[in-house]
Amino acid sequence: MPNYNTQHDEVWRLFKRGDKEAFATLYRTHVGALVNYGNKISSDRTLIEDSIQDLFIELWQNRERVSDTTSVKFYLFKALRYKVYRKLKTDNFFHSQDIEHHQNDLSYASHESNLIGLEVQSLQMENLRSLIKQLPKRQQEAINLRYFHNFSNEEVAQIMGVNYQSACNFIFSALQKLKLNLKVSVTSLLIFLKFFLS
Amino acid sequence: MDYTKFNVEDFASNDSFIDWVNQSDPEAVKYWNLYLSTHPEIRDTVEKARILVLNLKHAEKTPYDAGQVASMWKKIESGVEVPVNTKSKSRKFSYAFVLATAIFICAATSIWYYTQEHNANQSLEYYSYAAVSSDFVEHVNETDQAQRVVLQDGSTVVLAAKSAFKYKANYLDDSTRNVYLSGEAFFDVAHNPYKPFIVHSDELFVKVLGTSFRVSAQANTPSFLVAVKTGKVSVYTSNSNGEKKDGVILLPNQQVNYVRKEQSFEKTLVEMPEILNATIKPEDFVFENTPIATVFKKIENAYGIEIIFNEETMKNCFLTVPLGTESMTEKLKIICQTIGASYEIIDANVVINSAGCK
Repeated sequence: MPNYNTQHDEVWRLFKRGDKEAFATLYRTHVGALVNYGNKISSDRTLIEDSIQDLFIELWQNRERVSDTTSVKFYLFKALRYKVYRKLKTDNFFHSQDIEHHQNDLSYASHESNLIGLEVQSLQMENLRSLIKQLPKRQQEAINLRYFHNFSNEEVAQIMGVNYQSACNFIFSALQKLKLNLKVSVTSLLIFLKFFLS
Repeated sequence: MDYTKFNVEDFASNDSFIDWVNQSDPEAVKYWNLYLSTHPEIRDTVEKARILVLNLKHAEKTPYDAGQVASMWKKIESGVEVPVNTKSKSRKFSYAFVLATAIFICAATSIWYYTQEHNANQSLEYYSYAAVSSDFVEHVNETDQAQRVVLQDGSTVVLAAKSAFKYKANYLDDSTRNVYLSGEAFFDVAHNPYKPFIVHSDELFVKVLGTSFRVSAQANTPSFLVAVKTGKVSVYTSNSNGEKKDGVILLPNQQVNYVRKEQSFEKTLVEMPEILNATIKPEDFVFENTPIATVFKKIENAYGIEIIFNEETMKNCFLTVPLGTESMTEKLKIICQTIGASYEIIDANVVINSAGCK
């Protein structure tokens, strides 16, 4: 989407010149996605909030030194993941494996109940969510980055710090497990037919 | 690319396929629409993959917590207000430190001015040809014949009759090479990856690094045409705010017709596609009992185009025809007549319609 990118380039440029308004726009534009992703890589909500705050504060302080970037979103995601990992490693309270294996079910449950308030939940969607929850952490992360945040396979690899093939493998094996959940619903089939007949 | 053997996971993890599902990339949308319309047998698998992609996107959605977002911003703002160099409070102020700071500020200011100027040059704001202001070098061709103009950077412009173009006298000082065209011209651009070459025709922009192409943009006509001979060309428009809007990428032998009123791009092949690969000789097109897939591959490679056909239905088609110096359309016509098929050109691709061969 060229239009989208040009607008975002402009915000980034203004931000680097020290424009506070542009900085606020940058925050508003990306904070939702960063919180979503953050909760995927760690169950500790405070840790994620702190990391995102630090990320933006440091970004502002180093604004003259940060390089031009083709995708601000990509830059922020990569920086957030790095930050969260470093915090997990330095904090004795957490084991570094936390990010790999455990998911705090409490925080997930609260998410889940919030969701129900927001939208009508189909049974299929519930099934899919519980299947995703059973995937290994890194597969969950890859799926989140690829399908919700719409990063390309290559970008997913770079954010997660693995090679391209590993990222593709995470996504592919996750899909293999999730496919079982797939039932073509009547509505989506109708949409599909309409699409081809038009 | 043959997708007929792809399963659900293959599709659902394919970048271009996901772009199609999300309708986020016009190129991918066109490509997959076309591919699916010629390969009905994969629709079932494709639909499953499409739903999987959409469901996954939906499943990962989380609510937006406005309270959390606001409280985080408060903390960020207060973090930003604190002077940046609190840590250096205890540090002794030395003259060297002050000097270094002064130098840094000077450098930062000059960089700032420099980048400002650069960015101003890259603005996508468009001007009608007449409105581009003074200190420009202008070439007007009032004769009935094309004129050849060589620019300072070695690029050549063959200006068609009754056409004109201009550029800033010091245009090589800018970060992009900008020329403004009214009418029609063929450009052979000297390669310079650091200074893109941009042709402005009212709201249409043609951007290249080094290549040759033709632009036809008479100010009062309803549509503009850009045709590419070599290299890769990006054609796009901007809206009145100077923001980049839609665009297409053109490869050799492709052209785009931009309809100004509808702001739509129609990509097709040029009328007479040329052979792009100099090593290909006319004898290479002599076919004797050659599988049709091989024949199409040869044409694809020679003219840099894509031929879309159903490999499965046409697997029994073999061709015995001595072709040579005919034009590409002539070749396709003869091939199709011989095997009882027909072809059409959709979106700069050749699509073969065939019921197969016995």
